[in-house]
Amino acid sequence: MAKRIATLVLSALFVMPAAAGADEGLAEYLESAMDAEFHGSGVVMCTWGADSAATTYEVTRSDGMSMVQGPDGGLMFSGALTASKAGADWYALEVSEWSAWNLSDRYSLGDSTATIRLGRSATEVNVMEDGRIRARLVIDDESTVPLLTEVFGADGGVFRLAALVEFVAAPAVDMEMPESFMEHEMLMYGEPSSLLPDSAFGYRRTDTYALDGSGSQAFYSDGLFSFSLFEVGRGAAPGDFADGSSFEVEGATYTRIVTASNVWVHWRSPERSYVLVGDLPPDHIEAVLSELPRPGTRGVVMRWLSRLFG
Amino acid sequence: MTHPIDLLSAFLDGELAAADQAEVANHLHGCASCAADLQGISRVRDWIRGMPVEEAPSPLLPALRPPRWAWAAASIAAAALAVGLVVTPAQTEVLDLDTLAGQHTARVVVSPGISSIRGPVAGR
Repeated sequence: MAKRIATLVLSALFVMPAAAGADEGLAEYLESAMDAEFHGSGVVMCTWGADSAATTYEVTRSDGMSMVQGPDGGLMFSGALTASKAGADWYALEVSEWSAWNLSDRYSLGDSTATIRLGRSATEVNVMEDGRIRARLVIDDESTVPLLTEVFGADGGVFRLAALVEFVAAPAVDMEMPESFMEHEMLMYGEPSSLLPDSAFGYRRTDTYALDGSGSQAFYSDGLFSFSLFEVGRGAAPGDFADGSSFEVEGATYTRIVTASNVWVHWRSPERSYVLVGDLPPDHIEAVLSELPRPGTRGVVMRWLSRLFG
Repeated sequence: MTHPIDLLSAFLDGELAAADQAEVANHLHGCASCAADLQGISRVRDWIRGMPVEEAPSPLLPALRPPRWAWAAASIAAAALAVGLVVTPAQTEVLDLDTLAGQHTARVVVSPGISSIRGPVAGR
């Protein structure tokens, strides 16, 4: 694997045209890392301003299946099927279809250096965005698994850190999906909202799924980071955001919650209520929000009409 | 940094200052002992969360009864309803973040990306 990573980086730096070659090297790494088989336990933390959260987790990937166990429960993945456990029962959610993955050309591979992590040979790789470091990965040479992932904000501080503290490559485990599920739901394609753009700050809207009721889930990705934008009725109750922090983007006020894996943002436009959830760094979120429907209120007449007729 | 045993609980809750949070995280990279302690704390919390909620003993209940003004307000509301003075608000759609998290994660894991290559954590 050391050879492979070295080849990817060298081809990015010296053989191919800078941007295109670098993208291909990073894209190839990301695709191959998805299939890497390993078992590990680690910690993931996220910090945005004064808000931060952390959690521990265990992950096992083998035979095309993944199992992730955290304090809030367990998940299993196999292809498009995600199974979550609640009590003794398993619940399945299956994605019906999705668009092809593309990596944005704003990312490129930067310098790489050989290192040792968890007693293993590894390669430290910088992922650059427009000339500055956006992420630092320490990749296990044998398995291509990222032993350490750091994502940096615009100020150069660590926004999210995920570090494995125990690691076994290619574990001999026999994983099986549950034989039956209490519920098995499909995430079906739906009509894209006319209020949402096809892309925002380089994040392409790749898929739109219908929610129960009148809402939708628009999935945006730039290939490295991604977010879902849930658009629901304006009256939707954001009870979980009651303890969130307020922040402003271009004079508009939003509410955010920071969890270890994701950042959540809620706001209401004059027409709809929105929840954004994803792993993108704060400066990206602010740039994205400036291209989405803005927070705003309705006039008195519209509020009364809404109350009368729903 | 010495072993930050006393800080691990606050670290899990995200209650430390950003600098301390980062310092503890950096320490956890190289200290299997503290990482194990962190997982232990996390498991204990998980266990406590899973404990059944017992009903409060009856002597406590009078203290939880609504005050008189609440009964008065309820009476007025009932009367208002009876004469049709109250406009029913639009039906409220509840945002269940656990459900939304599940739907987001289900889509994340089918494509490469910074989260999917390390394995997204269950929950929000």
